[in-house]
Amino acid sequence: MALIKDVVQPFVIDPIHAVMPLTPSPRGGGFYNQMAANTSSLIDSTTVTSGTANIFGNIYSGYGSGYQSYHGSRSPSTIDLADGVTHGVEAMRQHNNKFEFTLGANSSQYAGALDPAGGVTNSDAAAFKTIKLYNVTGGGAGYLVLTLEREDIPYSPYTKTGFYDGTTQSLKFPSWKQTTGELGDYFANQIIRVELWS
Amino acid sequence: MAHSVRKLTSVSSDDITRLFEDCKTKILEGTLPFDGTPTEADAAVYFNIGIPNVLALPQGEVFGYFKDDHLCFIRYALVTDGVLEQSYYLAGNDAEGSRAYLYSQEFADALKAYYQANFTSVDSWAIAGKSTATYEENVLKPNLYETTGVSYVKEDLTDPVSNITYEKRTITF
Repeated sequence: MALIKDVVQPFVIDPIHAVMPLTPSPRGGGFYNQMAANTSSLIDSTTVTSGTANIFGNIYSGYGSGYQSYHGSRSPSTIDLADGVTHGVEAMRQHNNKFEFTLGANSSQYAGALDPAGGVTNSDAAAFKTIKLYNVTGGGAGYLVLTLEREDIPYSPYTKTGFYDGTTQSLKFPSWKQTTGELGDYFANQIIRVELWS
Repeated sequence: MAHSVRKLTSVSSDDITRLFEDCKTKILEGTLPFDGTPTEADAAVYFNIGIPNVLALPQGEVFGYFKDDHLCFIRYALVTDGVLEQSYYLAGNDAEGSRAYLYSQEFADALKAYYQANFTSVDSWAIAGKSTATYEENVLKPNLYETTGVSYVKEDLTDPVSNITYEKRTITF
């Protein structure tokens, strides 16, 4: 064993320092700067205790509120986006196998005339870059079951009417919807922690 | 000739694909509430993913109509407190390559026997103006919904998000 240790150590330790410059390069970014640009961090999360619903023949699994049916629950009921603004979670679910994430509530924050919809500017910096789903049914930190990039779930706000401040008004809810179905129902009566990452 | 409706605990992708091929023209005419206009591949994937996903749900119910042990028809649903909330279906061909069974009294009777044995009530949705709604009204209503021992109600409901109008039919036993 001593012979192997002596042989390996010089080749493992020394070359690492040689290829990792600590100062910016003449082209504007050293190794560490590039790493920083690619760093992702947790923005916020909510945990969904999943339910199911069949609304007009559409199968929903996860949490959703609104017309016809509530299914499941979520805690907390709000989530922050990358710009620091807090929003109500209207839906976090699979709809006919496609992941769907909708913000909203009956409030002036979602007035139909507001631009951008719900005050949400849809960019990585303003909203989120990645969504991760962890199954935490068994408790603890759980395990990762699905990772979706925002480009896989295009921004798709929709308008509906809601009652607030004593009148029925047009509301526009920010929403992101996956375009292709998932082979598997990740919510399916499970407890899922949904994390937004920058 | 034997006619039966049975609960399915598994469905092969070959069966889903076969039944889809038999009825894809009806699906692509707009009988399902897809976002936009699906391609044939999109619609096929919808069923190939959706039916196994429903089978995996504790509340999921998938059943089929067999004519002499040949699987002709699959429908999927959720069951809540004894109510079968039906989703959409694949109505394929029988062993002779025909869909005429859909109009037979034997098919309606087999569905009725399955419903009565397992559920207190059955909901069914169809998009208004499409052939599935016409079929429900002209065939299933006289053959099943308005038969002895069945109470029948029809409502028209518009989804405010998609603006699609659905015909909801409820039968109770």
